[in-house]
Amino acid sequence: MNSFAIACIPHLMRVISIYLTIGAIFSIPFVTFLIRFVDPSARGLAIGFRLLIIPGVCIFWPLFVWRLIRRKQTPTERNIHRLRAQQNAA
Amino acid sequence: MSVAYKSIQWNRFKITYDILLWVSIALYIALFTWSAHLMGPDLDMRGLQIRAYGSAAFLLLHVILSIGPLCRLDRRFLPLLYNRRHMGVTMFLLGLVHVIGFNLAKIPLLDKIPSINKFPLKTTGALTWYHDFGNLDPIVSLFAGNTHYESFIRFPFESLGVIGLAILFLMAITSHDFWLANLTAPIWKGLHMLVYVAYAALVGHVVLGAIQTNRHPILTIMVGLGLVWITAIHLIAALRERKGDRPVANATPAVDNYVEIGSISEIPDNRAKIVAVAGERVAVFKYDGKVSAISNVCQHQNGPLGEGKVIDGCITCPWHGYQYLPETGGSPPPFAESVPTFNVRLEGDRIFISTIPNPPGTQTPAAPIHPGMEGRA
Repeated sequence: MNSFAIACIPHLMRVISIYLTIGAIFSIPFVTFLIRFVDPSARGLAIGFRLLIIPGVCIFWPLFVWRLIRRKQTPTERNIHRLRAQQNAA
Repeated sequence: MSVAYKSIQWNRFKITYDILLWVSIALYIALFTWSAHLMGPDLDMRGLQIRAYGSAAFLLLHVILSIGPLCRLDRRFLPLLYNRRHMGVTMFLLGLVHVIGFNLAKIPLLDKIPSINKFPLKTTGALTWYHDFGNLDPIVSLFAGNTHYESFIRFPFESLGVIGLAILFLMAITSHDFWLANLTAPIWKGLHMLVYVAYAALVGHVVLGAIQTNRHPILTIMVGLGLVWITAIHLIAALRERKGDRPVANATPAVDNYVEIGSISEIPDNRAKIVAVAGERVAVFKYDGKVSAISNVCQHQNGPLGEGKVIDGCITCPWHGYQYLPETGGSPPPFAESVPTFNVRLEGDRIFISTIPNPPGTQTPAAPIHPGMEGRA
């Protein structure tokens, strides 16, 4: 057994646990009511859908916190045709 | 197409697909444990179950990785692609059971049902089986037990398994369309392309695991054959794709920002010709005596719109049925997806399309095919 690894791994596990716990706490208000501010398609009760996205919100919660602060909604993808069309229109 | 998210949009096809998938997996696990027990009656059933679930996940990964290139080579495989995400989530769950085990009677809420104990459905996971006998936490033991990262043969294959499972976990939790919309299709696809990293890690996990434990060459040979199969079909599909793109490279130089892309007669009714213009593929459709061109990239999952067909007046993506109106590139109301369109001009039998895309949803008149145009040079 590697004593350095034995000493480090619990700390690493603790950091991951803290990150996921913050995500889990954030996910409750997010899936309940905050979600409609970032994605207009998330409407209605849809309990199954809201439960289904909780694990992902626990991981990607900083993205949604950022979008909520910036008041941004679902982005549109950027591919070369869309960019050229945008440039042309401008 | 969804205007309000649902957990799963069940239909008869998805239900049949999932039943067939789960029955096949149950049969495989039963057959694996039964035949392995016959060959080695002294083998511990818990160890066999760990291998049964792990190998089921690994085999399913091969099936999943084969579907994409097979669909490129033969359209008859497309129904398999339609519900591939359920297959992916199932694969992750099999891998998870391989690692942490499963006990039906200990699942929260289910444990409150008294009759659940009548179904002793449980299996031991590798984490308990190999790492829960000392005074260390099993997770710490998993990572600290073998730290020979400098050695090839003694490399900690468990870490490779953790990498593979972590990627499959990320893919499983982002499988809903909510994630496609919120991460955007290119980022979502990039994330899900990590499946190839997971595959490489899991190949290492299985091969090194076999070498370090039983040294039986058959498993290594089988994994090698799987690797050859996956590599070969991907290469064949990629070569065919590249061949399809080639004629565009020889296209006539743009005049007035229009390029000639071929003749009307070479496009079947309600189908498209795919050409690369403005740095990406464009789908040029012939339908109802007209020709229209839209970006080939479906907004949903970046599926190839040009491989679909016009159904009920809408261009329909072959992957998941997302639809777009040919003359605007927008989905019919109430749906909100849209893709860029291209101006089209016909001169005799020849089709010319603009090299400058119009913004998604722009009304772009289709080019009418007048009598006698087809087949006229």
